[in-house]
Amino acid sequence: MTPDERERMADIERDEQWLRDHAPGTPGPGSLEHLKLQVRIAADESRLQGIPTVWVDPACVARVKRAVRDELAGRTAGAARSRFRRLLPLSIGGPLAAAAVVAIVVMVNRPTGPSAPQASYSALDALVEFAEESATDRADAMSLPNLDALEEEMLGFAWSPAAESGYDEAETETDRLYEKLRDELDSLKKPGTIMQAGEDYPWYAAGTFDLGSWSWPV
Amino acid sequence: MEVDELTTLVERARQGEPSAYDALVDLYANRLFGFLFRMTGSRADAEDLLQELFVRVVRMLPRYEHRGNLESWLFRIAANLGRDHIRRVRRRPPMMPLLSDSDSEAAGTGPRETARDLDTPSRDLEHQEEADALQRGLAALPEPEREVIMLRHFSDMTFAQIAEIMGTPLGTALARAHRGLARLRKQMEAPDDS
Repeated sequence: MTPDERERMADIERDEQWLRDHAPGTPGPGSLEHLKLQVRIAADESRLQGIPTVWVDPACVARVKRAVRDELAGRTAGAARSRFRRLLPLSIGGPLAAAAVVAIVVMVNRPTGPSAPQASYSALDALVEFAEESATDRADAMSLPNLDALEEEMLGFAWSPAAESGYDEAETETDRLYEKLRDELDSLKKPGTIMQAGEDYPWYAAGTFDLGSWSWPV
Repeated sequence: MEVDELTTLVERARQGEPSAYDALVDLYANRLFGFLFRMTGSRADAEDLLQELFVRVVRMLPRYEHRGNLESWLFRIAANLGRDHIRRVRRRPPMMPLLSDSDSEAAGTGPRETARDLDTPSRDLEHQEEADALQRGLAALPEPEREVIMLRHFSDMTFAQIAEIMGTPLGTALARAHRGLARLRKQMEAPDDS
């Protein structure tokens, strides 16, 4: 231990002795344990002095402001999108809803002419793209049970570790759904598997899937 | 900024006033960026996350309940975005050199980095070595401890705010800081094996 270190330790011990004599011994903020920790932290924090502060590029700030204005301008469009999502009586995420749309569109518009498969696959590609966009926007599209916890957490109403774990679970679940969706969309692209996909979504067959007035812009 | 002024600003932003959002960006962008930059180790990623953060603020602010904790709320979102990013890239973020030329030039220089006397080459070298050791030490810390130290030192948060951001009791935030700093000290004092 260097002389400086010894001196610092002596300071800490003196401060802690003072705290033992004066601080409340009860747990919680202001307790002896907290104050002791703060003294020790303060002693070690000096090592971090002099670390450079990084500054954000003004061009980045300008981009952020532009994005904010775009988002504000796009609120109306966003609200319309949300209304569409509320039409889906599903308890699963948006990506799987997109898979259902794939199944419906393919079943309804099943190709009949010689050039029809090509047209149909283009529509599928567009739907795959939609599904991917939907997945990236999953925080909005998900209706998993723990999404509420995630939203509460993000809004600052809940700061609990449980909310955090809910958030992790939501993320994991969404990733899993997304991976599953990708596999299923791949299989949908193969002729002969379309009806199978329809059978995989009994809620569609039962007529519980209501697209409302929405139609896919193929 | 006074509490009343901030409350008014938040209310204006909540009403969708673009200039209020501009003011919030001006007010917090630097500190949030600094935190995201240190967390991700990438200027480009930190810039993307900063943009995403403020877009989320636009979406969530109408439902945000302002009780004087806007700063904690923003850093909470930043910490979540940073953690998500790290999870997505599935790697430990490379720590940026604390005193590299590119850092100083690209990131700008502030009063904190000129606080030390760097007027002689030997002091400069000594400081560089110390910063290098610190950088290695920070990179080796467990994530929660590193995050507390980042929030404390690169974002000027109080421990009460850090506890709120991390969703832990105050004692946990203090203990993490203490453990992290002690670990840091041990690592910096250990003889360099390389």
